[in-house]
Amino acid sequence: MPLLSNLLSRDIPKNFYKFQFQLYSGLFLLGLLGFLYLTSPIVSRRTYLSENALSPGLVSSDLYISVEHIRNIMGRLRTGFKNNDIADVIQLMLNENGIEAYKQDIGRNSTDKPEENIYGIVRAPRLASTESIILVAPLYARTQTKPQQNKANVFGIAHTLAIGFALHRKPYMSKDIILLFPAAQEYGTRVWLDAYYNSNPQASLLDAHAGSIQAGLALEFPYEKFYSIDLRHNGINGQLTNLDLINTVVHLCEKNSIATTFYGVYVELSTNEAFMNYIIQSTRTLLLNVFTLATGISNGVHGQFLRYRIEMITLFGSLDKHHEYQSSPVAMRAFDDVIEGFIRSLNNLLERFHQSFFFYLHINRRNFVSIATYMVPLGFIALPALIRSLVIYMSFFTSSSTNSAATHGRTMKFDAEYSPIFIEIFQCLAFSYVLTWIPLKLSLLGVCLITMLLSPFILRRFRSNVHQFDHFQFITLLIGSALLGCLSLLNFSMALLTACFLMPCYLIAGVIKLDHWFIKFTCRFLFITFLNPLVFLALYHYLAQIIMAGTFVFPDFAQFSNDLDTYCASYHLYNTWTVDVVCLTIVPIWLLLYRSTFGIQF
Amino acid sequence: MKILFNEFIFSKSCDLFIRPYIFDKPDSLTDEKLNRQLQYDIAARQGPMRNLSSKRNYETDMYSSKLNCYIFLVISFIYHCSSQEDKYNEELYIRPLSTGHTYFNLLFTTVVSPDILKSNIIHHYHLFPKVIADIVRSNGVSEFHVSLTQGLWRYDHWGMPIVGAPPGAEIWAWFKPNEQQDVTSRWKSFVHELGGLLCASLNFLDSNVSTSSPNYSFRPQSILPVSSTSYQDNSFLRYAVLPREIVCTENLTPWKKLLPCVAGGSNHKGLAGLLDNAPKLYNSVYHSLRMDLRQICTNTECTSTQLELSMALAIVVDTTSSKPDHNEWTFRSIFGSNVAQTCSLSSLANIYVDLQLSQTHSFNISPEPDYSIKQGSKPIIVYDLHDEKRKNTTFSLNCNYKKQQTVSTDNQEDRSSPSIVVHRYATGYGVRDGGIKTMIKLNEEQKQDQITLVYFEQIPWYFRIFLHTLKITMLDNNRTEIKPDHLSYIPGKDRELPYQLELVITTKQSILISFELEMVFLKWNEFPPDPNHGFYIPSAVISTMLSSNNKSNNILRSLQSYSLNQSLSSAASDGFVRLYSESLLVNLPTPDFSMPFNVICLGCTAVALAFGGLHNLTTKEFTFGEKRPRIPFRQRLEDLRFRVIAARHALAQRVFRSNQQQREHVE
Repeated sequence: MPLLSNLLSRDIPKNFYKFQFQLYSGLFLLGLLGFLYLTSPIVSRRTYLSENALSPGLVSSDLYISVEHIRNIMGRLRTGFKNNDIADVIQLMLNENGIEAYKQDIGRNSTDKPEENIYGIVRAPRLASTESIILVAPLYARTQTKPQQNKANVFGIAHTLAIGFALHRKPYMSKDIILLFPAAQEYGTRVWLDAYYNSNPQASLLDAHAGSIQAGLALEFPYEKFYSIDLRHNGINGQLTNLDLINTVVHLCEKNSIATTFYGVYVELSTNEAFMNYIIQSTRTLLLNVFTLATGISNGVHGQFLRYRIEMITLFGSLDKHHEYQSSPVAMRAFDDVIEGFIRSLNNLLERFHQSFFFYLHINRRNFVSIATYMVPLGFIALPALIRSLVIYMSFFTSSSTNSAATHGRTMKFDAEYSPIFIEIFQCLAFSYVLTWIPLKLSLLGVCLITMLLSPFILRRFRSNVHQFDHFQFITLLIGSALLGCLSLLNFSMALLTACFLMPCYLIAGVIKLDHWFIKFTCRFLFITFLNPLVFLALYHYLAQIIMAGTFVFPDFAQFSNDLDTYCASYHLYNTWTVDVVCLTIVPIWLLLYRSTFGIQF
Repeated sequence: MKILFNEFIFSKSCDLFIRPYIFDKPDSLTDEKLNRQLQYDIAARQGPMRNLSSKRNYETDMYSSKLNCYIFLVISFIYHCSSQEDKYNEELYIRPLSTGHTYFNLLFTTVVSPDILKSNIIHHYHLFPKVIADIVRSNGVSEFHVSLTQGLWRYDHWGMPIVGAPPGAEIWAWFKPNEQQDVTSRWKSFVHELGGLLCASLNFLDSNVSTSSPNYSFRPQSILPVSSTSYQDNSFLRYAVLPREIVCTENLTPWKKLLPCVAGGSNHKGLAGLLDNAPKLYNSVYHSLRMDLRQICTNTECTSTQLELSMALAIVVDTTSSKPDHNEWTFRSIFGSNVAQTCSLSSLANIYVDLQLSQTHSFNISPEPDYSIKQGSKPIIVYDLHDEKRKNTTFSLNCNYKKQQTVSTDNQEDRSSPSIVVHRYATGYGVRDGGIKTMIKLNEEQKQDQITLVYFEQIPWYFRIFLHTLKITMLDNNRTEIKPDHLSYIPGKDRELPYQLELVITTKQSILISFELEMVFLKWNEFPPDPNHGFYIPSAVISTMLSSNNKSNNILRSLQSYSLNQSLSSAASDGFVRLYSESLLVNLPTPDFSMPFNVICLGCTAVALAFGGLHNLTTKEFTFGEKRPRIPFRQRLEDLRFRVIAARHALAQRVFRSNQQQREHVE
């Protein structure tokens, strides 16, 4: 590049070479610390409602739903669940109240009974069914303690139905309300959405539609009482709900004095709370945010809707008490007010959610960090890769100018042999491509371990000289920074974790022009053990466990392998690309680094 | 002096027959006074008259018997000139629906002589609204239809309406051939004038961008003598819809002022009195205003024609009461008022209650009906407001009905499903590709014989539809494709012409029509103020003839007359229906307008920074030049000195030369 061609390596101060390692690691650590600093009240912002049309719905409530009415509905639902004809019971109840109800066969037999989605549409008098709001209550909800265990979502279904009945024939409704009761959680929801939008050619036809769905709410209440609401907003591949929607729900919950949490972490915002406590809890929320978003799977049925640009979050009824004085569970009346206020706010909305933020990280329910702020630490973390690649690039000129007499204009004439480099890259990519298919067939863990350790021997032994090594470094650094750049815009959390993994790899691989055999051996050992992607994954899992529990726990290897297996089994269901990214970019880069660094022949 | 209206009024031999108005007369009013009031009323309503009567009229300040006689003569003359054949019908059709709603349709039909549209004479318009006649005459319109609707008619639950309408505004007009102006400019001015009249934003429809000319779907409604019937080319037809339009009281008020019995204030006579309380009328699930003008035959031989102006207001109101399966309503609960007085201008004022639910529901209606008729298997009870016993009394209707528990529901559901139901929805994932699917479901009875459907779709240009993706399949079996009998497709042009698709399909089965479309990325100034609301795709229109022996048919309008009296009296209905599907709201790719400043600044900076470098890289070749020899400082000073000297020399020469030239000039 002519613009840069003036910058030759001799322009770089000599001291820079000496302190390169210190500079890179310093920047890396600065980035990490900067990320943790996001929790500070100076950096984070307080939430606010950006869309004015949402506010009138927050003011007063108009519906009165008696507790007896809900108990009556819950009783009928319970008998329905007992007799295994819940679909018919719900449909009958909808029809009795003059709401059109339909069933959709999703055809997956976990036992021998075919499963059915039920949905009803409360038609609004004011509009010609062009827009709608959706309320989702999965028939079964995962319990709080054991995610594998499902319980009947009686409370959620009963409230969804009661709200639907109450808002039916209300003259102010201008958007239809779809009441959806998916049978097999995410799978059922996905089948229903595929049919609604007909995005899948095999999808069955639905009997009725209600225009374009604007936004909604999912209710998961495995217990029949609850003390606080856990707001779940993680979407697929790091997608997030519009912040305005979450703020609306938080505002309504606070108005009705219901404690709201993110990831089960409650942050006390009152002034007499110790500042340290606030910081610790906020940091926990922030880290959990990043750790869970990085997986790319959603923590509720709402994730499927975000894919279709339907803003939605899941309200989960949690049994955790967050105030010492809170002795009784949340009143049904208060909860109904929240849902009513939410629906009336949305009903008032003239446009789709487009204001406020789509890229943010929650610190707690009232504070968040926007994209403009949280990108800075990632920039610091990724900066060493860019600087290093620039330095290597500049050194090419000096080395090449000594070899060939003159470099004319744009034509770069580096006397490097490209073919072994590209063959090596293709080899590593092909090898990783094979890896992507393995998790579908076999248990991931065993296979990965074997391949990771065997890979150096399976592949052709790689030899390169020092000069080629520089080129290699240059290419891997560029691939790495391009990957980070793309990921940071798509799924920031994943980009952050990827950077945390790749940067140490680069550091060790890049600064190893070590002559002593012992240092070389130690580094190689470190590289293959501690910087192994799998080890990093385990470390990540363990850290997430600790932060989620809030106290120290011992690493549980069985749990890790179990979680990994369930993740790999379900990731196709969610339309996520996390595994693809890991297998097709991060593993190849790691392999390349390893093989190029330790295959040098002097 | 009061004579009841009868059918014989339109016999031509009523030259000397004086038809008095039946005013609700306070006792103090003398006959002369009454007549005078009548005269003013006519003068005010109809504008300039053919003779000098109005001029004379204003002079009549004294009540002399001579003058009285004179006025009578004048009145008789007016009637002789214009109004022997004029007829005005008021009807209210009520149908309780199985969902607990009730359908009310107020119909006002005016039939007048077509002479009022002739331009060379000054007219007496009598019952016909002058504004409409003016608009129609000046734009050379032969017939038109306009409807303003809020809400959606649910065909699957409510059956067929008497006349259907799409959500928002719909308008079509046939223009007369052989006029001086071309059709496009006449359509433009017609739509503007009508929009101004009805306070609706019809002016958005004027250009070709949102207007189309369907081939098969909207044939002329006029019934003309056989001699003058000729095939009319669809270039004289303009059709447009505005699905975004919101209908409100500001549309109702000008609309109802076109009725003959609507006075100023809120003291309307006849069934128009039910329109007094406008906000009540909008507290409904479906609300549709309509106006149609066309020509019809005067008699069965069709030797001459008449103009028919039909205006209708259809509302569907939720009438369920707090008790389960129990409905009740009264005129006061629905309209906020009762029918206080009859409109004496009307020749017919009937209220029909369609009791098609009587098999499953037990009805309790007061007062007692005058008589009942049977349309097919459905009993219809009729109240005649012109009946002698109702004179000068307030008429109100109370109705409550209850579902009988004994009838099994499943059986009933099947029988009451309408012959044909349309359901349309948008498909697709993302903001670039989409599609539209339309289900047309026929019920079991209709499937017995073949039905011909005309499907019409007008899609704005920013949804690019692809004809090669058009697929018509059976609903039950999506592998059997159906070939349409006729297909007319006019591809749209960006910013000029909408896409227009028309299919004629003959089928015995329920069908599914689907095609795909691509969304256009609009220019930034083409977005509406609320771009994130979405863009509407107007309703699809399905026109068909239902077989007349179908039991599940609802009362439809007959093609002969908009007045229901006729369709009820004829044994078999014509079975012509026009169904409108849902209109769709689709999101186009929308830039983030909420922070244009950031976007513009960032974009411009990036372009500006990148441009210089990229331009240099692509156009110039960089080479290492020769190094310049180093010039000592003294040498440079020397050079400078020489340059200064040379410059001074040149300056001196120039001055010298100009002086010389001046001197030559002087000499």
